[in-house]
Amino acid sequence: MPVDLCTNVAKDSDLSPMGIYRLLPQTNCKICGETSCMSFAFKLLKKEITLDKCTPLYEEEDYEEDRRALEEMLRPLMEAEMTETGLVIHEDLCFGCGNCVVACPVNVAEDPKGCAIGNGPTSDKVILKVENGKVKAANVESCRRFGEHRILCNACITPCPAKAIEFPGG
Amino acid sequence: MICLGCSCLCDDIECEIGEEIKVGNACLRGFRRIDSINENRLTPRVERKEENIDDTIKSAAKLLEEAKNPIIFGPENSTLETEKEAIELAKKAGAIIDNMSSFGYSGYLVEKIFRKEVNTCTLDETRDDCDVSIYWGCDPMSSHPRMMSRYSYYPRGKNRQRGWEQDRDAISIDVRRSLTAEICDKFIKVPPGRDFELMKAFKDVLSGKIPKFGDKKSIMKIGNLIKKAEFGVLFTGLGLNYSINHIDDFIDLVKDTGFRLQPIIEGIGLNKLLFDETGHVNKINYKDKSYGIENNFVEALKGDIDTALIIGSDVASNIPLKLAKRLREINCIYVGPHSNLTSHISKVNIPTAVCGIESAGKAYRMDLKEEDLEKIVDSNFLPDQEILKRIGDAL
Repeated sequence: MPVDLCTNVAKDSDLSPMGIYRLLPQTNCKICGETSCMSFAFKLLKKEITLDKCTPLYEEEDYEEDRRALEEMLRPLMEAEMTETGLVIHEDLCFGCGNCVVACPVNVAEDPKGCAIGNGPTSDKVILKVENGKVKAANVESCRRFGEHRILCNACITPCPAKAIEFPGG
Repeated sequence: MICLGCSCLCDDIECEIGEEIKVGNACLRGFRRIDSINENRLTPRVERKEENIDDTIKSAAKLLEEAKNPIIFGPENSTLETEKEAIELAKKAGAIIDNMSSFGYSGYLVEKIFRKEVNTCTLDETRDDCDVSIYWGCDPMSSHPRMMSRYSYYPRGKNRQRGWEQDRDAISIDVRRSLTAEICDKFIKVPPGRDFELMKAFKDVLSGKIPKFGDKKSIMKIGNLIKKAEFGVLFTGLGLNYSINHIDDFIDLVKDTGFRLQPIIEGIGLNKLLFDETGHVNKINYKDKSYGIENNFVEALKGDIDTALIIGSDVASNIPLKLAKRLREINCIYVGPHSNLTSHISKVNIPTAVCGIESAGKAYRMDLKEEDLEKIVDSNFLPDQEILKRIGDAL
């Protein structure tokens, strides 16, 4: 039996600029006002532009299938706007290892003598904290995924072995 | 407070015990240990009849006195004082003393470390300097949930300021995709019993040859990572024990790579105390001062053991059914805080306080750092060391 050697590489998830770009017309027609389809994809992900600005997608029959797939892909992103944060912790899966608490860049910045070196939080400004063996979220407004200049940070999702943290909004 | 749930001994636990129990920073394992202090407690029993604690101690002493070949097993997640008393009791009763470390090679590796034949390091050094950590046949995410977040992978150390993102690499080697493998950068899945071939492949890479095992490119990539490591730590567990038949070759590999070895085991306190006294870490028979595989708990159960004193370890859940049945046939005494399968099949049950919550003491972390445990709540239960001392006095 051969040895099965696997490497954990960050998966090119569907909801990424590249994933969106693949489904766009890729003609760089500039109808939407952007310089290229790639920049349109970035803006779509940041929710700075809506899909209907790409008129060829709706007008030309060839793109109909791609448009449906895009709408399906972007739906959770649009729905996330309705909730305050979008951070979901599945408490039934979490076993309180605290990997996310130590890995979260905001926790590290706010609490350099606690979370950053692996200990429990000593500051009130941290986002993630373990209580009664389960991780709890607070101060979500300081998370790097929210606000005007949000980025697709996944520092708390990657280290979770139980897949207990999720951002359904993408 | 300090949590005694596993051998990580996390010292940053915030705990409030009132009508409601609130525990901050502890993992689920640690939290359940504190949360269950009022649940499922053991009652003093002799032959399933409820007795008072003095009578149970007397019956236990009587059973040990009449025994021809007694064995003392444990203690686990307990204090150094309890471990000292267990050794004293073994001397008095002329019993075999053994603990979980004799299952597989953990005890052997620990002995090598105590003799300074293999390099090791403390967990604090791991946090400050470790750049490559290998988890061979162990799954700390399941057994010691906070080990990777507190020490080996996620924290920012003194010389590893960029933490897990850039400064550290983690490699998991196991027979299945464990929870640890799920979060490690690299994972090698080895069929059971073939770890030796992987070891050989690593040795080939270290000496500049092309490995003859598995996906050569990936093995070479990981081998080179091991070669370049500045401060590597190798964590081993029970998985390694059952799949490597050439443990000395494994130790050679550890020496060749310059890695530090850290077996992930429980109850290292008893190993250290026994080593200081006799030069061996487990499997010691105080009747004839012998040391050997025949004194292993499992082998002894297959042999002519007639009485077993088990301290705070649910060993019946961890051994094959046949041996558990044998444990039921012999005179078994269980000393521990909670009721479990071992207490259920024991003839005498003696309840104790939960160490580190209801009784104070000292304990060793897995890297032999001594920690002081505090008493947090009062209880009517006696601490384990006192019970063992009273059994010893009654002998």
